[in-house]
Amino acid sequence: MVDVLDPEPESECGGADLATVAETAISDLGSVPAVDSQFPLGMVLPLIRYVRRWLSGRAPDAIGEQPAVFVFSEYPRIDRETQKAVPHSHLYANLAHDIQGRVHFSSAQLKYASSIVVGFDSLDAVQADLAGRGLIERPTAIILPDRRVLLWCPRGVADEDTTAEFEIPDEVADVTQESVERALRHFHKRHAEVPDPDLEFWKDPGRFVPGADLERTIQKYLHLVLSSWFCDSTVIKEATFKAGRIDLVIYAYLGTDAPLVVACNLELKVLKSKHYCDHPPSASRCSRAENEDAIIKGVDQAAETKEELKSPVAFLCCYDVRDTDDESIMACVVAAAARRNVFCRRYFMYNSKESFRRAQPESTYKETAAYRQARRNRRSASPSS
Amino acid sequence: MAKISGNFTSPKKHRFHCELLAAYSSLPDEAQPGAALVDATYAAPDQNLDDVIDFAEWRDRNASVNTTGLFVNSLPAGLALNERERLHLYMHYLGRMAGRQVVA
Repeated sequence: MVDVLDPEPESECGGADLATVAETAISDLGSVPAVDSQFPLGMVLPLIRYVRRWLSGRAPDAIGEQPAVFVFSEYPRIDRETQKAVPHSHLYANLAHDIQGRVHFSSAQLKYASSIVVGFDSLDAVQADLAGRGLIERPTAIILPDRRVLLWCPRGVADEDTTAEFEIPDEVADVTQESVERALRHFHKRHAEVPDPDLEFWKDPGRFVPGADLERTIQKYLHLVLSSWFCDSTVIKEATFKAGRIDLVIYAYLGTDAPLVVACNLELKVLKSKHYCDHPPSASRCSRAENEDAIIKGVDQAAETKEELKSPVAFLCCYDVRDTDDESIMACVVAAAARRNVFCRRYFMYNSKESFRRAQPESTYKETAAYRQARRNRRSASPSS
Repeated sequence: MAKISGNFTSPKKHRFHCELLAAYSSLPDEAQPGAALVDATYAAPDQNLDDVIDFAEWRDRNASVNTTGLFVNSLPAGLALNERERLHLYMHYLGRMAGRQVVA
């Protein structure tokens, strides 16, 4: 998808205004949608940006407990249900509007919207209200402003299995090692640590078979989370440089007249017990050596990019879908990563909610004979651990 | 007819049309009607009144596509843009240009 084009001679550009072209590139790259227009999660990002700005203009004691509801529609102004609603043109620019206690009918970019005052005392009340309007299957976002949380229901509020929770970040976070690390932990905890059937991280979790092209799938979702977390910065995925393709780069935006400045580069790798296979029982095993090789390459790529871009912070993020949560695999790069100033992080992805629960320190499962036997079996059977 | 229906069912073209419409619909209302008039091909100095607007069908040159290749000049060295990003940025550019003409 990435094309590396030689810059065109300006004489071949007809009536283009070159100053405006340059201004647009610097100012607007951050507002180019992070994902294809058909990708439903892409609807959330403009809303997170809007709500973050909306919250930043209000004192904490001025924010009540009432949720704000956004139902996405391609034709928000002509819905039968919205005819008595108050129209809002360019809602994304209207920060004075009180979003709480209202149902909004909005286009994906918040350009067209209308709203009705309803008042909710609970999330059940939201569900009941939308059911009454026949909107229970529409893509819906519920904002809980006092908790700075956005609940995203891509298949409507009745389908709790596909509901994802996003944190609405505080005041604009500067891109630092600590803030990137917090965002990465957030992504892992909320979206990757236990399987979410909607995110396609797994082909067959029971057999530890990852989804097709898992690295790219993680990149897609992490791109969204980082874009919402650092919403005044520009996050680029699959950027092409001399060092090769870089999974994610975060640029700090310093104003219209200032150039974009690289703030952080991230390399992603997947550690696995099994390779992807369309027929999971036939999936082949992935050896420990293959996983170590991926980690070593990842450190090299992250370090080379850091050097080429003069990036102040570089991360190697290893998403671990192996059958055993084992940190020792990272030992092969500890010294090299420290020497080359690359932060290496491993994020384990449990293959089920049950295995996640059982792995918690307080889990009583750890006291059982079955647990001890399972550990012994895994140690003797798994070449990747 | 078969060729036309084949074209319209091509997933790549469908994705392009979706992105084009998404990018156009994100322009401010007041900028939408004038966006086409500030397009690099349409507004080219050598484009005369009543001329057919040629988007590289006869000439081997498409000023609109070429303009999308200029965005990288203003970005950090080495950074490439994919087709979707160039399309959205070009539409932002048209929105800015058209917006100025509305104000003027």
